[in-house]
Amino acid sequence: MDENSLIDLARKGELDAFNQLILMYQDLAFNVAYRIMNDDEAAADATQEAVISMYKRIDTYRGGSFKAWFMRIVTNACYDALRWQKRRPAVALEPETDDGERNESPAWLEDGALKPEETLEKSELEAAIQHCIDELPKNFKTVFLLVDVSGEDYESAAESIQRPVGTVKSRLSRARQKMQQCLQGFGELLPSIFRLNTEDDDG
Amino acid sequence: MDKMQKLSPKVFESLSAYIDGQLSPEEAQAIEAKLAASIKFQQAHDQLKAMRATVRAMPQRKAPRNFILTRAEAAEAKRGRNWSRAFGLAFSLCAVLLVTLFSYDGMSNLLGANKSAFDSPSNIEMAAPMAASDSAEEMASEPRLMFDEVESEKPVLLNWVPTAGVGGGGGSGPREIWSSTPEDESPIEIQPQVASAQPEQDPIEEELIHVHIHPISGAVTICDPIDGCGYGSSSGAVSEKENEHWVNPDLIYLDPITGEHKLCEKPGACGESAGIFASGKGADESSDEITPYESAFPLILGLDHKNEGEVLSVSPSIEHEDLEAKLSEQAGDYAGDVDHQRYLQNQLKLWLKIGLASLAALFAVIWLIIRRR
Repeated sequence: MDENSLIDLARKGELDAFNQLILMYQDLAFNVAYRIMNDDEAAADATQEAVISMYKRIDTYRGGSFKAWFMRIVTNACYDALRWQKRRPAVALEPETDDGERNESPAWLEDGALKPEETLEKSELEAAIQHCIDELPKNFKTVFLLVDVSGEDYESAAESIQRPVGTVKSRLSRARQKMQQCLQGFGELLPSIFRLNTEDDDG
Repeated sequence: MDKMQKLSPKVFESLSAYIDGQLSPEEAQAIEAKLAASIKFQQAHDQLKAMRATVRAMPQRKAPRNFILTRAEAAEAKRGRNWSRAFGLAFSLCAVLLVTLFSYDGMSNLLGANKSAFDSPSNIEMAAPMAASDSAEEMASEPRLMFDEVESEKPVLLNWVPTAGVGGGGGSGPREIWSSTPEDESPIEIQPQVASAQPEQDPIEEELIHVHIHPISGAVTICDPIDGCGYGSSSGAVSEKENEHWVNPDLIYLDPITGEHKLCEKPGACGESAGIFASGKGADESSDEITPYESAFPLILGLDHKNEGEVLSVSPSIEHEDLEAKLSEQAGDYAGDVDHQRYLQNQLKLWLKIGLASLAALFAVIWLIIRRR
């Protein structure tokens, strides 16, 4: 059954059709969520929230790219989750245990930087790229992920963020510029092409 | 430092779009010409392309589990959506009712104003004699004519039409004043400011008194000689100066139905003159005794602005406890009282609007909360 037929059935309340659509896009959705959240568990939770939210609103889908629509819901769910995390930090801010003793665990001192074991899990280059993605402002990050990570075209990304194609073009350009600047800081990790200009300057 | 930073944002944007194949043929040709002409531009292009390729080459994360919904999860999601819809609908309904109510109010005020302006004298809310005059300026220059030429065979009726009685008797709506002779029903508009302007001569010497006339009920209240009338409009839509007039005190009589003081066409023609207003000219010279004010309604002479708006003077012989008894005694009289009915209607509409607005806000908040969950 093709995507359009599944969408029609899903809009009529067919849960099986809806689930088939989810199976088609869940890897992509999770990947985008992971790049935003930079955490497997949080990305999975955000993806699940996005799926539930999409099921509630499936009858408001008015055509166009279903993938773009789904990605918009996923990115919104991720940013909602990030806002929620910001308001309610999971780690205690006070360096004391419940008994009033000094908290010896360094957990409360941790920042958002990569943990060593996480760094080992990823390739160093991927970790560097993920770090730079995390540094991007929200609007730039969304467009960058949609185009350069999910591989959407400008029109589809524009549909996802509900902005004109010109906005996508401009935000993507700014995001790429920032990514380049950020990646320059990782020097040796980068392919030689990244260092061409530096060498040129030095020479 | 990176050469990319030396490209202007516009050029970088074009280069970025060129790499993605998003430029028009003409724009692409321009970029290709630059690439052929500049090695540094070529390097910038290669670097950007390499970065893009590196990012795209990152391994795609696989979903750690399936995110499909079970029947139970789907049913729960639908329930939440139904609540969201219900509250959204309730909010919309309240908003529509509110808009309808405001529109109806506005329309009825507009129609009421037109109707009253051309109505028969039976609908005249308040009548005060004044000289027939086609010119408002003439009336301003001779303000006493408005009230002193009581014996005039063709008195001019001062007729007002409240157009937006929002708030219980607050007189919040704009007001129009018309003057007309009984023979000529077509009203001639006069400027309220001019009609109520202070006389050029000293009003005390002229034996006029400064009063506030309620725009809806026509109730007359004496203004404080120092602090003025001390009335505030509930909505601020009407300048209270428009409701202030200099009148002959003999024209003020006590309305037995409403217990309010009002203006009469002729002295004594509408009932017992309110003795408390008597001054020199209108007072009974043979008697030094002043009839006490016996109305169930307190006669407010002014509000003390220096004392948090406390009422300066009330009916001297009425105890506060007696007011309710008097009011209940007179309750029957209100059945046919147009002013009172209008007051009640205005109150009802006001509270209806407040209630609907509160409900709409409540439903909107709940709706948004459910939607975000």
